[in-house]
Amino acid sequence: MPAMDSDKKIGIYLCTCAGEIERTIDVNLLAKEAEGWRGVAVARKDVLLCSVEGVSRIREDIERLGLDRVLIAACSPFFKEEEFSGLGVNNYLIERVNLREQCSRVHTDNPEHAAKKARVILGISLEKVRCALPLQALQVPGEKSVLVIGGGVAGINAALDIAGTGHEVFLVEKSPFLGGKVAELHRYFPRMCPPSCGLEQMVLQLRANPAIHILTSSQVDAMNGSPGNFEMSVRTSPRYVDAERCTLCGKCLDACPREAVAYPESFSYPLAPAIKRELCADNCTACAESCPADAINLDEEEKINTIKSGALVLATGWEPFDPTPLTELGYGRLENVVTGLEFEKIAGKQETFLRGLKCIAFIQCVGSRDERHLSYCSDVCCMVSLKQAILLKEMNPDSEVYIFYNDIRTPGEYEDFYQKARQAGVIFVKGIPSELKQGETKGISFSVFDTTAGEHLEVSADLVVLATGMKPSDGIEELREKTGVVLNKNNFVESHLQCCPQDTRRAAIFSAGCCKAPMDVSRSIESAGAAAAKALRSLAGGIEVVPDHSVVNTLKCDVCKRCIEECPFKAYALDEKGFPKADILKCRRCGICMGGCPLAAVSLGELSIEQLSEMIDAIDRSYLGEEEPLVLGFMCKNDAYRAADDAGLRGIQYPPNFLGIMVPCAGAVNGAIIAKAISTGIDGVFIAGCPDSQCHYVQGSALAKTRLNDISNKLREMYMEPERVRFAAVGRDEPEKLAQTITDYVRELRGMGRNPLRL
Amino acid sequence: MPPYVVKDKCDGCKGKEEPLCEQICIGDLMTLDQESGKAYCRSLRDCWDCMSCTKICPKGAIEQRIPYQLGYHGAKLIPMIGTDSITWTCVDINGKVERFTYRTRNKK
Amino acid sequence: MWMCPFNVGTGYAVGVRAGAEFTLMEQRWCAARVKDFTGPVDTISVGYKAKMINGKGEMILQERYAHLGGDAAPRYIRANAPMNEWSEGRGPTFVDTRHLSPEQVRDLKIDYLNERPTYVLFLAARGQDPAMEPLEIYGSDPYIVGGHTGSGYWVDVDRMSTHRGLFAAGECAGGMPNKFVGGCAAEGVLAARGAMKYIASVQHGNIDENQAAAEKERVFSPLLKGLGMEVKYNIPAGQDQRGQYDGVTPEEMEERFQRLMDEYAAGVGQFFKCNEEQLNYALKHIKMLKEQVDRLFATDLHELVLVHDVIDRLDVAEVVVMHLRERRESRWPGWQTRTDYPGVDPSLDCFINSRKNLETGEIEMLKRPYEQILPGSRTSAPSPIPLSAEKA
Repeated sequence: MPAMDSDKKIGIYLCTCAGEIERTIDVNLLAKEAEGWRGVAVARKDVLLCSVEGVSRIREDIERLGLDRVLIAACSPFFKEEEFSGLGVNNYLIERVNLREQCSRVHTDNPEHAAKKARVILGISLEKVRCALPLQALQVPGEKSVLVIGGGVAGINAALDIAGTGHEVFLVEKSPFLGGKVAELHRYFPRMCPPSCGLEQMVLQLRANPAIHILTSSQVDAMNGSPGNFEMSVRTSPRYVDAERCTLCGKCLDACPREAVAYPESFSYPLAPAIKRELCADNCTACAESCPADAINLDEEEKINTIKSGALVLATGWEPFDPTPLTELGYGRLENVVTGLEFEKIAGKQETFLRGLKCIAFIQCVGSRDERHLSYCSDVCCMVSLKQAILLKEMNPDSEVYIFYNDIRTPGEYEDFYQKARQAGVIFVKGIPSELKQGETKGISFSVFDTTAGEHLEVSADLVVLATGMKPSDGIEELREKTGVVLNKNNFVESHLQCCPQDTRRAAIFSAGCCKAPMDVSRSIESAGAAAAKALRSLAGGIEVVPDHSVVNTLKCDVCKRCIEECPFKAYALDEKGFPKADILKCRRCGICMGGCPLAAVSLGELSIEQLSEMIDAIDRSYLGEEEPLVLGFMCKNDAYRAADDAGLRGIQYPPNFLGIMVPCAGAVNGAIIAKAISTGIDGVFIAGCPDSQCHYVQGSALAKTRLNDISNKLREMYMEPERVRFAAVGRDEPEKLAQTITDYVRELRGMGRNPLRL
Repeated sequence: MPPYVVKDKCDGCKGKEEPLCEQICIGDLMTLDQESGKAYCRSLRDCWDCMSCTKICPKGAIEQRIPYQLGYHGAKLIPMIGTDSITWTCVDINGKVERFTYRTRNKK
Repeated sequence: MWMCPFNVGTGYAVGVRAGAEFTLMEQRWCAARVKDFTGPVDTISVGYKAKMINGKGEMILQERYAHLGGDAAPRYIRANAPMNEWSEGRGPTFVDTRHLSPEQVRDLKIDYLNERPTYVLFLAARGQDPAMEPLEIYGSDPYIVGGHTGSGYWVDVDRMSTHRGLFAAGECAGGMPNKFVGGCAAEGVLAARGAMKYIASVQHGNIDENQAAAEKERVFSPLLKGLGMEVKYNIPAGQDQRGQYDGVTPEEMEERFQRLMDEYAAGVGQFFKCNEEQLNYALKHIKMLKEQVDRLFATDLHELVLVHDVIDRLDVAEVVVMHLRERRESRWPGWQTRTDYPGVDPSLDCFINSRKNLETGEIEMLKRPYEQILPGSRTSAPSPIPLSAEKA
């Protein structure tokens, strides 16, 4: 296309970086040449662009010459970001050219070629900025409230922390009472205090804050809407008891012939019974008739509410592992074999029975660390058994209390608790029992091989407590279906980023407590605080978002749905015309969809297929002469590109045959772009991304490898060398590895000879 | 016999109802075999060898062949599609390799 | 194949069945094509100036058709020429590419890779280098295609056929040969405008539900017959694996029908020649095939399309053969060669048209006079219309 005067609105600014870049590259000469390029209104060198004077000179140019696009050829785009924004043109029309870290500093031993490369990378960036889009941030109105699913200790605390800042909270609990598993405990470790005390305090605080709306006997039916604007359909089953009228006289409990009345504890919330209607006898209305306050209405119907919230916190807690399959342990088969949780109930209600016991045995790791059942360690069972053993010793110092273990895990200062148990006389045996049998007189007998003493031990116990492991709650699979969160192989809610443990791979949905991993009460409450903070951050009563998300070109799209399938965050759904469309808030701008589309129909707002295509066209295949091979490297923003910058900062040298292009993720590189690069005569193409397990976007590197494999195969069929495309795993802190990879690759390509293709 | 699906490479377009080759074939000839989950041509004789399926397959799993009535076995014509370019590699029955690369008018 | 094999004439067939008038269906397009592969050859012969030669190396057009223009002879001559060489024992026929330079051969192949890529594969599968061997050509099967010849619906200036509200454009519309791609596109615009004009002039119609139901039944009944059978394609002759429905597969009927047309209705196998008796024979058997259409069955939707393909082909073929019979002359030898009427009959310098009588089911023939609209010679190409003097 011939240059038209109206095209000339691009300003190119080349920095010497206080003379440093200039020692390797003659930026003045480069500026003079760039002045003549199509669409360039001004091209000049500056001593130090990021200085106050440097920036103001650019600003003046923009105003005076009416520039609408700017190239800043200087240091890495990740340096001096603030200085080069807000210059007077849309920020997305300012392109940074990495002249320092990825050119002058890494080719100081080859200045002649460094200059040639500088010219090429300037040309590449010129094409990129030429087709860049002037994106403007949008204001998406968002809800200010948060919905918490799960009314156990984690959910309650998340609600308190959120409501404490004035935001509205909806606390949705499946059962008729708040409190979760903690309400069933007799004592907390390590202080041996009763949970009822803590729960009472929490309930007082819940009641005191009008911003908290509690829905018990309620479940989430469906999740609609999008991050910042969720619409949750919540179904509340009838309680049949009006908590405001109930006087807690207890008559309904007495009147009920079927144990269908769930009666509250003194610290419960709501403080009113609930009728389990499914257990009632036909047409029985005994409870209603007995109620003196007329608080029971057996005709109450379920309610469905739609609740709008800006974020969700999942706190659905845990279930104990059921030890029945471990038949050798006799649960369900023998009397007086109980689980740790059942022991808590016994400790609360049958103290006399416990005092009378002579010998109690705890068996650890029931279900946990077991390939057949729970492969992981359930974290709390050692402390729980220590607590229960200490309790027994306090009740009856003469009883024999054994703990049969694999390892005792009491990290940090919990070590003191272990010592306390030792001092109380609890006997620790490192060995797990064989089959439990009914004793001859009564009680349970078994033998254990004590691995420390090296001897068999015969035990006859009055009570055996199985320290069963923790699994996520039964409803976790349904929760996954409704919210789309990702579960790991043990069905716990997964965050794929180690540094964002509250994330769930779904925007604006966070997790707290035992639904994430086994943990004790203190950690659950901490976890809830963290989730609350994250949830609050994700709100803001109005979400500002730049529309740089992925966009599908519906003229090219064939609805093969590969983008929907491969998106790690399930950000895509079909729009009203049946084309895939990414939600602007769910999209994480990784570009995996762009990389996988067979028709190259998907682009990101900040990096399009068109831009990449033009950038490749800007590469002069012979910039280092006819013999020298060229390597084009697509580097992921999070790891490989940073490693390249690091190489620059450290002055690690590599051949100037290498041209780097930053992409959001290794998975963002489309096969058609690579095909074009090869067709234009580029000798080798590599994609450098995070090592697999570290990919910020879960599967970008893995997908890049698969796609490169396909292209390699095709090259082989074309009787070209399959090694002309490859993947390189480069971590953030591996600049030497990157430099070595480039050096080795260039050498290898010299041996192969130049790519015979030329577009 | 056109077109030949290389089963190791075909992934049934990730199990969607209509793989890309089926969507693009103008003669309704390419379809998914329900049992194997791989694509195949249901009537080789009706194929016009337009190569639309070969070009669109994201795994490069389709090879174009000439009916034996017309030409001998073993020749290859392989397209590699770029954003606005196409590179054809042609291998004849004597093993001679020719490559043609040129720009297309597709919008990038 | 060059023309798409999935175009079976349905555009014409719906009009034939509705009683619309058709014109020049005898003016079939028989092209010179690369032999067997049937890809386009004008690219080579015109673009690269490759002369048509026979097995003896004689330059056919210059030798035998100098009186008709030699290399610039009309297109029906170019299709016929190789056929005549073959039938008179001077085959095979070629376009001579041996003078092409290596760059020209590359450019030729790139042209084909754009237009018909597997032609390059075809050459590779025969180990053929155009610079070493000339490329074989032959006539193609006849096509009915209004973009090349004048076959199609009889339409007015707005492109409306004789069936009110039914418009035709492009290959469907008759009476205007040599439209090619550009002309078809232009005609699309004209037909759209015509249709809009017509819509504005009429009141809204109502859909006759009974008619719709009847058509639905006609369309789906072959599938309903075949349902429950296993899907089978390309059943080799003699093997009966068909399950319970005892009928005719679309492949069987098409095979028989294509052979009939080739042998009796001036197909390429007969060097495009026919006579009255052959055409009558063809008509008789087309009628018998049509009577057996209700025995066609399909076992899935793909086969159902094949069933309707063959039904539509039969409807169009009947009209084509009636036209071939009616034009008792050989005005365009090659496109329509009557061995019993080899010359040109001046009284047939007119349109030969047809219309199905919806009561009797018979195709009725009629003639419409030729009227010259644009002045100038009828036999040589007009000079190009000069562009406006104010060119940018």
